[in-house]
Amino acid sequence: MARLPARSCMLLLQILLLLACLPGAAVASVTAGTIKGSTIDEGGLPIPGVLVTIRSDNLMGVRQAETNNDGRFLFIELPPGKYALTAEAAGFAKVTKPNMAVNIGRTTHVTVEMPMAGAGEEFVVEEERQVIDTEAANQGTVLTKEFLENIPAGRSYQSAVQMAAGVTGGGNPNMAGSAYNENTYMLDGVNITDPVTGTFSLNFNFDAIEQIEVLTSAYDPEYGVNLGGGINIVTESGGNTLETKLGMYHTNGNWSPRLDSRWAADGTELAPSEFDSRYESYEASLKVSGPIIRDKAWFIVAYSKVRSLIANTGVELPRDFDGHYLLTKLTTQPSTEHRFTLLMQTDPSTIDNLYYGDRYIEPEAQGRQAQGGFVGSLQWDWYISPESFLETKLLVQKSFIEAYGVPCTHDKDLGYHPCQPDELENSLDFITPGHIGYNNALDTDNETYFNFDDRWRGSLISKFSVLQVEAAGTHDVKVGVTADVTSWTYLFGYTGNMAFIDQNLYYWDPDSLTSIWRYEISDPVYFKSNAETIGGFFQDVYKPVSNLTFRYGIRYDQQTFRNDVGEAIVSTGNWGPRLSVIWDPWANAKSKLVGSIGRFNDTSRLGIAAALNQSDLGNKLFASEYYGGFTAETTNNYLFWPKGNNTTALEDLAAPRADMFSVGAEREVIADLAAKLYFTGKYTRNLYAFDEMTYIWDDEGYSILGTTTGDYTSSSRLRTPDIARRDYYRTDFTLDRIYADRWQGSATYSYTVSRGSMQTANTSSLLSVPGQTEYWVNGLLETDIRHSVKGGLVWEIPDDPWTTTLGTVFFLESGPPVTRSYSNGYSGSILKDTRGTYARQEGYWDLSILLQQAIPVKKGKLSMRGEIENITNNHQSAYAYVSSDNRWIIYSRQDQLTFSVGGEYEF
Amino acid sequence: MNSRMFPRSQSAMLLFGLAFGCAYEEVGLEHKDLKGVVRIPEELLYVEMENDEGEQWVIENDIRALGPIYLGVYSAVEEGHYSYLHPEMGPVLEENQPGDAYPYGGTSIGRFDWGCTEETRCKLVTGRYSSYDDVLNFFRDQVQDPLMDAFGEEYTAGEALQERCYEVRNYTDDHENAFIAGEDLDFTKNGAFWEAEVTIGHTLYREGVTVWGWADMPSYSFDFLSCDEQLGESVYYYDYNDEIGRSQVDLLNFPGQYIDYGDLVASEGAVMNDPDTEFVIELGFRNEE
Repeated sequence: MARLPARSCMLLLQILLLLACLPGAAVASVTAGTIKGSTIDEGGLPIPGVLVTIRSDNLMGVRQAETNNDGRFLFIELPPGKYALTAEAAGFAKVTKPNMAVNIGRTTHVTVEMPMAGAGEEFVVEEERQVIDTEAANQGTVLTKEFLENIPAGRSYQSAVQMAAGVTGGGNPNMAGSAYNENTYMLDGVNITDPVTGTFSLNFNFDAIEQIEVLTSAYDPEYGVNLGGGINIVTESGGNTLETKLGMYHTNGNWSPRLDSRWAADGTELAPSEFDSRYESYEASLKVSGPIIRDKAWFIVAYSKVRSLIANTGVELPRDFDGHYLLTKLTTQPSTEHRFTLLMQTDPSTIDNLYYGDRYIEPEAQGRQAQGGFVGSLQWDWYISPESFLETKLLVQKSFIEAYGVPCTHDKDLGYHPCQPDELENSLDFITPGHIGYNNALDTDNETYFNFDDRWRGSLISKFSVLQVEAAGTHDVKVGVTADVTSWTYLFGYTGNMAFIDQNLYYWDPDSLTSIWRYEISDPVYFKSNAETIGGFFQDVYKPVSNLTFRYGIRYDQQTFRNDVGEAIVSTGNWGPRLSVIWDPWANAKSKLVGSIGRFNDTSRLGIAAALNQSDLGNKLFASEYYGGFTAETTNNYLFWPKGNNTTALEDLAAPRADMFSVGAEREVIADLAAKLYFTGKYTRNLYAFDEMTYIWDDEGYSILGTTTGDYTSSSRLRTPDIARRDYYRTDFTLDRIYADRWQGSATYSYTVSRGSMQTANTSSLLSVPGQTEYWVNGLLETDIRHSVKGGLVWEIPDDPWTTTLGTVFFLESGPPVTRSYSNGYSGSILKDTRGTYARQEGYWDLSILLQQAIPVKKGKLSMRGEIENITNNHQSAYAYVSSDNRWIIYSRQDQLTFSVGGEYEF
Repeated sequence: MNSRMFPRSQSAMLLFGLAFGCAYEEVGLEHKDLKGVVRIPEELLYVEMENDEGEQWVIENDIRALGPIYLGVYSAVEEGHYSYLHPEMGPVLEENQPGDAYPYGGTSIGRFDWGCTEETRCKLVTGRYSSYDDVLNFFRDQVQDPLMDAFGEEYTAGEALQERCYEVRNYTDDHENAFIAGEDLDFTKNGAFWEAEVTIGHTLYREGVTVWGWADMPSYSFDFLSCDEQLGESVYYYDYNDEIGRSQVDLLNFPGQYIDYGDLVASEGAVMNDPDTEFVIELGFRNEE
């Protein structure tokens, strides 16, 4: 097949999609849910003119709708939560469905059967619970507040999202085979992903989370752009009742057994070694929510203070994290058409006794890092009509990291000089001189340096929805635009007015015994990078017939990322078309077949553009005689030149993209329990990578045979070649049991194959590869976790009037492959093709249990909770290395078994 | 399950590609992959050997005796500096040092690898041996210097050498041992020539650039001048702690410094006027100096 030139192809694609999109098109928003329903009589005929009313603790006032001639009704943009629905019509009994769940991004379907009856007659019908959303195509999960509060997830949303199929890794997870920095984090519908690193940028108040939607495939264009997945957090808004929740929690893992296990790749187990560690955390939280004006203005304030002390082997002082998380949210609805929401979240934190290698002065002093940020967003929701809706959001976000040395420590038990308040206030140590490093400054003891890092984001989002448009069926259409401005300012310097910080032998003349040395200069480095992204999307949920749904749409994003001198390093425009077909073969909402296909683009990050910054340390080069040690006399004949960046960018970069397909089937096998089977394939291409342009390599990228410039100064170029890729396949089998009869649970088995030339897109470690493109090999990636089982269960044990809740989660994963590579000595390691029966790191399984006992007390409820995390105390794969006797040693660390206790008082 | 999954999924990918119909092509990339063939007349493929006792013999027409073939892409080639055709050089800046040839790009056919024993450092080239037995047989029968194990005993079975590699380098699969090519030997016989296909990847292309190359042939004692024993990966094992050797780092900048007696050099350069046209390089000149 002859390939079309890329641009012609794009034009063709645009035309095709425009033609395809003509009938118009989408729906439940990323922060709300929808109720669609119909009213029928006992004979199954539609009843027009029925007054349908919904109420919820999470809904300001009531919403009412009148059924149309087909007996259908619609409620859009509903805050997630439990709803009660009432249907009333003359000649029919009043019917109430008191307990309907509305989840973000989902549509709740309801059919109300109204018997004929006399006036005043009323039926309360327990709604048949909806296990399968026959309009949804995305794979992922929605974690409700009830579930989050009752599973042992350490009060961490990052832990909780691991429950979703295809999510592995830690706080910045790998989602659907992606790298950890390729996901989107959303707070109440706005993107708050760190603009520099692509990771999460904010710590949240766990108690204020209403629902979390975890998306790993086939999500609608309005969710934005990323190669991995989305974590969409929607917070509480308050209610008409004043509520207060106080909580105290303590977690301790100090008494846990601590053994490192080691074994060689051939399976030989080596002697385990005990390691030191310390793990304690404390949290105090307060949440107050309620009305300012009933049904007109609500508020919520949530505050948490978190402190944790963590130390691992070889570190004397525990890393001392002290964080304050504060969320305030004000929601007002002056009329039924308009609602305004103002949200502020901030998380100022400090990390003391920071041990960054030998970065700070020891032992008297350690590093301190202040970090945090804030998000402020203002949202305007306009209910134009029962079927149309406009939402507009404005966001300002800042995150910062300030790291520096302090001449004191927090732990006076160790006999060091404890920090005094004034020292912390004026803690930046510009006085203590460092000394000159040798070969690698960071390997020496006293290079105290600081960095101040500020990141900003401003966003504007506007979306317009119109639902139930009749055109050869029904359409739920949504269009929207987004504008995003980000910037990154960074100041890096060495304290103590140091002049030189690094000393490298540049050239050795054996005849005169003269060395030419190169010194890096410690002048502070300051730079600022920025980016703009504008985008638009169109999406439609089209139902030609009631049991067949087409979800399709497209988004376009134009992005420009600049380095510190304003050069546009990444400037791309990207189309992301998506299509899903959902078929309910028996039209009874008990089963569905799903097929999806779509393109997901990467928005890039400031960290990519900043890799080509021109601001850097300078070099001094001078001749000196050297006889075994640096001496004060060696300070003559020097030459200074700015250390320019040897990295360039290919002018026409592609945006990294992932083409994904998934097919699946879901079936309600017994009441409230769905069995789901999905197969997902994902082909990620054009990842950011650096290639070395001046070295000439042999046919395996092992030896340098020469250089194009005649010297050995490395020169790299940023590229996005097609061969920088990942291929990912996953099969999931899930049993999902929604909450009913006091229990809820979910269990998933996944089989995953993940191969590619690179896992990460992080430019902090440049991927230097030989110039010969064919040596990009497709090795097994870290996400190649063949077998994974994850499950969660929440069970309310009936012991009325008390409430006892048991929550448990279980994880089992086979180990990822040991990365095989060989070092060519010039540009890092070359990943080996892993066709062999390569060793894998240790698999792990762990079990955690949370037991909560709620006791009714005067004016409220008192809860006690006890949580044991990682009961199995299993080993986590840590790393693998080649030992001094040249054996691959695979290292695992025993995960700490932690025990948490807590108390909560709600009134 | 794995082997069956890929064809199916690749089919799906193909369908997807057809549906989307697009592929990104890097615009403005001046680097090209140049493809071609290197051919060696079989009558030139011989090595004159001599042992410490002064006995002489010849290894004839045996591809295992062939060192790496180094290929460079240069502005031009010229005669006069050496007895063989040599890439055009830049200014001579130092006495007794040729000028830098400033290659635009290049590659090799085969590279030095380590056979997991001291004696094989800088002597084994990838793409030449099909099996461990092949290695043992060659050194015993042709080089007449059998490989010895850690106890000073001759390796008599390929499995023993394989075991040694698995132990020393912790390999778990022969594929990790680059010097075992299996059926993927670099050269095949085509009439009176040994031929190998090659791609010079990611080379800065200018119209009229010339591909030129040479083959490092071993000395009387089966040593290769283009290999530096002090370079390469460091291997530490109970009975071996040293580097394993790899090619010199300026072979394509100063090839004249490394071409010695018996090496095979391109009899003419291949001028490239179209990067998509395949070049043919014949190593038809045997250096007798």
